[in-house]
Amino acid sequence: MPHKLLFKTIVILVSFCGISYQFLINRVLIQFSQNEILNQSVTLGFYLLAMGIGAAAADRVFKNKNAQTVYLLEIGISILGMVLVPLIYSLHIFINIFIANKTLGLFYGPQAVFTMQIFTVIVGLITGFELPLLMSIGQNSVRFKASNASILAFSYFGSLAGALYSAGIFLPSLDFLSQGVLIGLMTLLAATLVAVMAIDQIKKIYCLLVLIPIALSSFVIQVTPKLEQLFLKNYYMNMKVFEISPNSFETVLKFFSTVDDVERYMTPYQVVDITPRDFMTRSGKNSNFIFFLNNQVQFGGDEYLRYHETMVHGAINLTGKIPKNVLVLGGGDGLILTELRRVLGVESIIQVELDPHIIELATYHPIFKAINQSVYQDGKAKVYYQDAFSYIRKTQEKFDAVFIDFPFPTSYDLSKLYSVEFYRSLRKVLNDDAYFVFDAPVFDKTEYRPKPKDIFASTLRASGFQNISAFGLAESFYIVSLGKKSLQFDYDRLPPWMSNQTIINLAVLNESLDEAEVSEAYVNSIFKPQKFVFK
Amino acid sequence: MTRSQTTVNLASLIVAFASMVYELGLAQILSALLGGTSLRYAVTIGLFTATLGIGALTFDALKDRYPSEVMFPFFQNLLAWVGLLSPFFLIELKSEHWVLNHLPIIVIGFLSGIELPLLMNISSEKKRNLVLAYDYVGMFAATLFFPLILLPRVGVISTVLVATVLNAAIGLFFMKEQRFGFIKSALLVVLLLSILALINQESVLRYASQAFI
Repeated sequence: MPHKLLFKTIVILVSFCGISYQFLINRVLIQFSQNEILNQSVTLGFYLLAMGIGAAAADRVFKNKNAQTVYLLEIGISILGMVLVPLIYSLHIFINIFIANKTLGLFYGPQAVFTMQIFTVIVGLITGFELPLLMSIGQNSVRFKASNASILAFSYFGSLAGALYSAGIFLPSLDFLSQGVLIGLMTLLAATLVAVMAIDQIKKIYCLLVLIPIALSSFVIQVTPKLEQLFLKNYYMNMKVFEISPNSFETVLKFFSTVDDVERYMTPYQVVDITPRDFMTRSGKNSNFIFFLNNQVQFGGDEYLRYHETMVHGAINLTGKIPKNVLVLGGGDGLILTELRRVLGVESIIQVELDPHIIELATYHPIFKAINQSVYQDGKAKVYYQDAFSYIRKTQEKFDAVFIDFPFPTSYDLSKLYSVEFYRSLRKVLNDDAYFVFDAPVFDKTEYRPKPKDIFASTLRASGFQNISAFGLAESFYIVSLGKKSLQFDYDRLPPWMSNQTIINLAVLNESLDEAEVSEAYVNSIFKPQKFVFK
Repeated sequence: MTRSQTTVNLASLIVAFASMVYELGLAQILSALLGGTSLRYAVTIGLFTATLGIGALTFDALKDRYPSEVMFPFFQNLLAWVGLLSPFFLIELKSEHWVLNHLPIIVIGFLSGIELPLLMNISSEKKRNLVLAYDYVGMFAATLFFPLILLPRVGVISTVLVATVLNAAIGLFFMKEQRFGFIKSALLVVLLLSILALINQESVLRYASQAFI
């Protein structure tokens, strides 16, 4: 390879790896904060700041601005890359089990996003150091002659490639630990290229250093499944031990090894976790399983029936209308379809689900197949893999009922699916007399205003809906009807096969809903998102 | 004309803050329009850095043709106008055309890429690293202010308007001793428009909301 091309490849690789580490840290930390936008912004901010400091300080820190320094820095950052995610996981496990109560939660929950920035800062500093070093090599070396501007440009192109790579455009999703190893290997490649490029400037003994990241990578790959399980089990169990000793540590490890594994699936849109039978979670023992999306509980083996029966048959009973054309938004688990299949008179069902992997799971995973009765295999519902918001903005179809099953709006990203713009678009796909249902808490213990019900009520009213009700004692839903009739259950007409736990759930909650404060200030808009506080 | 180093440093901080606010704001609007927040932020940040680089290269080509003192307000003016118009452009676009949707990000990144070397050029030779440092601090501040304060309290459009006010005000400040010409008037107009829109932010929000669906 010609020297100049080799040199530019190194420049691209260096910044590619830097920004990829930044994005990886970001994705790992989202598990703690559950807040995408805060996470993205803060991690990027610390990365840029550290890079700036590194770039400014490089002159003073390094006397030898030669290839050897760059080589050593790349080896260092490659080692860090290999152990990055294992370190964050281990820190989290250790602190959560043994000392979470004593550290003011600095390494736990949302605060961890800030504490763990130490890793972003190290990566940013080293990446920042390298740019001036590469510039100085480009200026002073005859072989690799390159202007500052061109080095800057190639470095920026490397960042672009890293950002696109991290966005999942080039690679299907790997688990976080393997992603760290992969970027670590790319960094090692950069180090090796530096050694190839300027072998005469690097002490022979230093060449052996490449063995360290290689050894580490094989070690990390070996422990990855175990470490990930340890992290997941601890994350969902939230176990606390008050004595720090080798003995108690061993006991904890032994205990975790007796627990069945948590299943984890990575999709480009979300992280899917399924806890096994008899698993102790923070809130008690689950029976068959609990299904999580991005670490948020969706439903468990105990309550899925009550949830979906209430939603579908509860809504039909309340309105007294069997819908002919039905739209299901989200709900890729297939359980709403299972309930709709039991309703005579439904003629067509369209489902819009963002994530094809969820439907794949619902079609082939034994747990899902059992509870949704292989509903996707009969092919009755037409499924579109699309963003629900885009679908309702564009479709010409009209529906008699819409069942909405999205995750709770715990982030600004999700809150757009509960926005005034969303509901106004939804209005356009409804026939006269149609209704729509979505699940959201009606009761709360918080004094904080706006409460979720304030936001829902204000937003629905601002979208032009008048007839808004809520129902479901333990599993609550909002129902919005275009008809004028006030909604009441007709208990005599409930389907005879309905489960007892659903029947006792069926109560109208309008008294609680009437307490909601309706105000223009509480309207949730994509342009001014509200913060939903669930307690 | 020489400027005090403090002025240049603060200008660097403020314009970097504004540029980052534009990019984060546009990423937020795009994620509402096209879906997929993670992807949207990654693409925005990637395009932003890449176009910053192209901007910096362009500056190399421009630096001997025009004095930096003249170019700086000129580019502030462009930035403020592009910043002011881009949310409305995205909302009215109503197309999923990839290039058109990302055009504002590309243009703002490019203009911001020219802005930093300009300020470094205006600064005294020895203090250039300091200008760079203030630039990074400005971007850093934006990454904290945006998610914690601006987005939830002010809303995304008004946040972008705050940035256009900053750009226009800095541009005007650098032209304060000059006579009124095209650039100075344009800066004044964009400043007034942004302030007007900020005062009427409720109506702007209502318009955006309506136009979006």
